[in-house]
Amino acid sequence: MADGIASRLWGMRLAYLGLAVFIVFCQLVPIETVPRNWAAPDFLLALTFAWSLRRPDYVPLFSIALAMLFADMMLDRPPGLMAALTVLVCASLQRRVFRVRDEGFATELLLVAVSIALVIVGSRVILTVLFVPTPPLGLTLFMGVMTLAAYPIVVFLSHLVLGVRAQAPGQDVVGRSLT
Amino acid sequence: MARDRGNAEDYSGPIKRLVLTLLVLSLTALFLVWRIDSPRVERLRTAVIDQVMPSFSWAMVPVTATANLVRDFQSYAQLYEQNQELRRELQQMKSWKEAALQLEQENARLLDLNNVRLDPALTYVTGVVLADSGSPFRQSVLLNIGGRDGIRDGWAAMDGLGLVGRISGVGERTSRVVMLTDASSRVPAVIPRSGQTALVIGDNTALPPIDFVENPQLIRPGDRVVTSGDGGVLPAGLVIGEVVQDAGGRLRVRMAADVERLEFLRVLRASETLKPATAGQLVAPVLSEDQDTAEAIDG
Repeated sequence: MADGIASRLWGMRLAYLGLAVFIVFCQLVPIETVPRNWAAPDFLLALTFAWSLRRPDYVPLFSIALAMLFADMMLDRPPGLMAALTVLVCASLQRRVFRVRDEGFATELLLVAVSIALVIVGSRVILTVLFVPTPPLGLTLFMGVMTLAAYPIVVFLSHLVLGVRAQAPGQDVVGRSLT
Repeated sequence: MARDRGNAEDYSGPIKRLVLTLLVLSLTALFLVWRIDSPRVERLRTAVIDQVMPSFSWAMVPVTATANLVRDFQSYAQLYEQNQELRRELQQMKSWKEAALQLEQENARLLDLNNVRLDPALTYVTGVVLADSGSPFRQSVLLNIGGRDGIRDGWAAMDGLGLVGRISGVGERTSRVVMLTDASSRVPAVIPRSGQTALVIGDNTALPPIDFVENPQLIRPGDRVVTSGDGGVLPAGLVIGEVVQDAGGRLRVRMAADVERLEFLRVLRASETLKPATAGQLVAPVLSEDQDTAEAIDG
């Protein structure tokens, strides 16, 4: 029994890192080499928030830091900045996991919206303070909105495909009944 | 259950807080080091990409091929219109071909007269486009050639027709091409018809604007834009594109290179590029006269 829990737990932790690599890989496929005036949602951010609010055990802070730093490196972003902000925000999300479970999806969506805004605006403010050239504001905000719009889809898919759902009372860390 | 949860938090809380602090501190430190000494961290980034990209490429190639296949298939839908358009263009091309042939003959005659030998330094290495920048905020592509093929920072990358960008970041097996459309790209250019020099300034749109023109009245939409070679980074005379005017009346460049579908890029070997020896020279390269005087003073 305990062995099964551990293997499922580590399996899901690996699955998170695998998904992170997969998302970055999809973004790197050289299909769009023309500048566009729209931005795709940041699926990695949505995935990280969704899992942090459902199964904090699947996404330990170390994994989040690793995945976001990898994305920072590969996607030509300032290395470490978004990773640091995401880790901070996720740490506070993971403390709210039980409250969110009890209060329904609208609260969760609101919380996620605030989190996305914190990461995006935070990194923008820090970049501006340090005189790093920032990307156009409109595009950044558009990406934030798209990420929020993609969030329910990410939640739904991870529920359906990987069985990541909120921990109900009386279940162990991988979602099996304790009785 | 509630007490269980409380116990768990008591037990894992301090450890979690320690991990959080350590992670955030080290990530912030990395970011600050990048801000202070960006070339060093960028080299680290290049090394990471150099390790990761070749192992991605086995998966990247079929995915890219499939995506292109789908796009090709979509274009079947407009086959008839495309055919009509091609016919029209072919008509125009015939007259151009005639003109080109005449010019070629004339050119050959003149070269022969002058006994000109073309510059052997302008040879090129061709690379395959592995990946794009993956973010809408940056316009760059990764090539599968790098330091092992003799690629250096600053060399020009072209497709068959026009300039695409220049190399910025060379790993052992990969290199990054920052495109003309990237917000950090500035390319000194000249409009040969009127002899006006200009800067082609990337601003993350498909048509980069032209700026720092002495006399914009002399520039008309349709003029050719080529690199001027000023600054000594890019060779002179590479075709960039033609001038167009946007709705706001601003002059922009429509690139000659087919940026929509980049598959192969030629990287021009330039023999003489200013190579920054120290990080400080990245900001302002030392002029040769200054160097001479400095040496004279030293000696």
